[in-house]
Amino acid sequence: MKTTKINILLFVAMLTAASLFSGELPSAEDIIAKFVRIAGDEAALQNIKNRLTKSTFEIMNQGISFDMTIRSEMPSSFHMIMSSEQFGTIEKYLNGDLAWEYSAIKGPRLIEGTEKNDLLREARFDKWVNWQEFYDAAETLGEEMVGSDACYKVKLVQKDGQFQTLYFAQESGLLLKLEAKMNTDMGAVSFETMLSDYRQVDGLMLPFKTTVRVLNQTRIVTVNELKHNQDFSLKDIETPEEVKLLLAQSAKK
Amino acid sequence: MQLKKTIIIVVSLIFMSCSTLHHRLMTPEEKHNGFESFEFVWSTIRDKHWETPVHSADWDSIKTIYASRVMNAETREAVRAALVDLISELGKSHYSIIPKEVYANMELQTGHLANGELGIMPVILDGRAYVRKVNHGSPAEKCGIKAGWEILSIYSEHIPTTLAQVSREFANKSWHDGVMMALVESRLYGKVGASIKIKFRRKNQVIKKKLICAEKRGYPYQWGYIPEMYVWTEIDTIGDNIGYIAFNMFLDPIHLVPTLNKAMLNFQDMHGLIFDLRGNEGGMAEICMGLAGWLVDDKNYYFGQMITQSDTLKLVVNPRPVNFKGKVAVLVDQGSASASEFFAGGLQDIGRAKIFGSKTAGAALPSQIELLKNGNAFQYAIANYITTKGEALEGCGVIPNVEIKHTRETLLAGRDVVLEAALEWMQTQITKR
Repeated sequence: MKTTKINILLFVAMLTAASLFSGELPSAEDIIAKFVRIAGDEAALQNIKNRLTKSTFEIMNQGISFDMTIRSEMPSSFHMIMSSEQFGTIEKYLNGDLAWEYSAIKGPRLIEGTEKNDLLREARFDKWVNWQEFYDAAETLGEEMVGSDACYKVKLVQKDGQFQTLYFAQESGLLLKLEAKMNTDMGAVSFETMLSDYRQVDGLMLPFKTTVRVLNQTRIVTVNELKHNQDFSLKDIETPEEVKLLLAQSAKK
Repeated sequence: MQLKKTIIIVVSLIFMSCSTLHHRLMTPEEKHNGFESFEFVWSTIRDKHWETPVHSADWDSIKTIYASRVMNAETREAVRAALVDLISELGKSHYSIIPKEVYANMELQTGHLANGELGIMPVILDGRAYVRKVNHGSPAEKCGIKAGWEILSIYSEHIPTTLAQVSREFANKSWHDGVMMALVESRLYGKVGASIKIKFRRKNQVIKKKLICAEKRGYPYQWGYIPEMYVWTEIDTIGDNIGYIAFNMFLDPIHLVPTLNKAMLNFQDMHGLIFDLRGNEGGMAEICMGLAGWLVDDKNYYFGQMITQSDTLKLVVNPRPVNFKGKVAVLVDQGSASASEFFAGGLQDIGRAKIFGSKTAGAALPSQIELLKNGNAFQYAIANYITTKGEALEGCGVIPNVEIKHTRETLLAGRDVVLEAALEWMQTQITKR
């Protein structure tokens, strides 16, 4: 009996040693926890009521750009306006159950189903603090370079079964790259997002440059201005008359 | 993450007849830029074509042949010719190399671009160019030019000979007639105030005219690397109960979309609506979907699918809160391409409209335009397009429900047989109600 106990202890010790020497990967939970500590934990978010972001949205090498303003509120509401003199304006609104898009070209539409669920998840200020609410499973897949940064590659399984692959920098802990599918009214679209130019704002680390590769295009969003706790309320955003008509028609059905 | 706005440009036939102006030897830097442009074009097609590897050509072998041509090219025109030949290996529409001069003129704002026109809308019948329509108030109308006249020459260019050459070049392409039509149209443009000498044939009589270009109809529009184009609309009523909407491109949303929206609201109580898309060369798919939203009341409709390497996306039609309930006819011809094919084919597939005229260009691929290192621009398809019935429009076109063609005689008689057929059908439907 004594010999068995010693053997078990030896075996456990050998396993521990082996895992230490092989540089065992940290768990996905630990990687995300580190990111939350750096990018903004619950305490940091408590000081944030809303956010105003003014950006430039550019389609690379095509000479096309939009001005973009997003007003967002805790926990997951936003109103976005994209506009270009040559294209017109596109508005998107999400506030609780109400979600709509109004395009000067395509007209109004209600955002529903999986598309709305995706927006609700991605718009959450505290998405990474409470990430278990949105993902069923997390797994560290390995290590990979993103540019010159060694990263941990993490797979997250969404509630709808689709998964995202995220790349967290080993040294800084920041999220540098994301591969996923986004549900749109046209169907699920694959995209790759690179996050860079992180800056400290009111206790949070936020990326000021986002490069998205989608549908054979590269789109760059550069934040020009980002302010917290501004004097606005999304409840004051007027719902366009045509959206109101769609809502009334939807309620009848 | 909520920023997945798709901008799909589907202009097609216009760029196929772009020509360049100067032929001088390149500097070493220009040669280097020319080769980099070649590398970009070749690798973009390799990486972004919806079929990987590219099926329609042995893309790796082709590289050696064209790299050598570009390396040995002495002029920018020779580089462009090599690039045009390279993309022609694909045998698809929506691949073009737009000459640098087009952009140089835009930047300089010197008015070198053809900002004037004569007001002649041509049609190709059996390989020859005829006047289909003379615009009201145009220089052509003031000079007494009439539908049905054959266009024999413009300046000293013998048009039947040019068309015969183009016909040979595009012999097996569905957009054969569409390119010929675009070419003739391009010869009928010039700077405002410039004179254009044209020789017509009216029956057996040859008539020579010297016409002065007036400002083009509509609004000039330029966005990204889409060269400047003029977009016009014609909104009218026929009798008391039929609305008529014609426009030449699905571009310039700032002017076009409010005009279309206003017309759709004004025509709400009409019994029928005719969209005249003859000669409409396409533009933004968004405008096509937005216009279609006025015609359907069910959100489950879509106008086919775009297929990329990684995704299949539906061109969804979002119904407007107020919809037009009457009959819809769409008029098309060989010059109707791209977005106008999505529109006509999409409405035909869901049974919402009856299509009249002749088969469309079959140049229907979503594309985008990027600037090359040598100053030219490269238009390339980013996806395949498949209709709701699972068929490709590219190379096939939309086949009208009622195929009807002009003849020289009907044109000379001042008749528009395509419009007449649509009106006759519409009146029959209205009588039945």
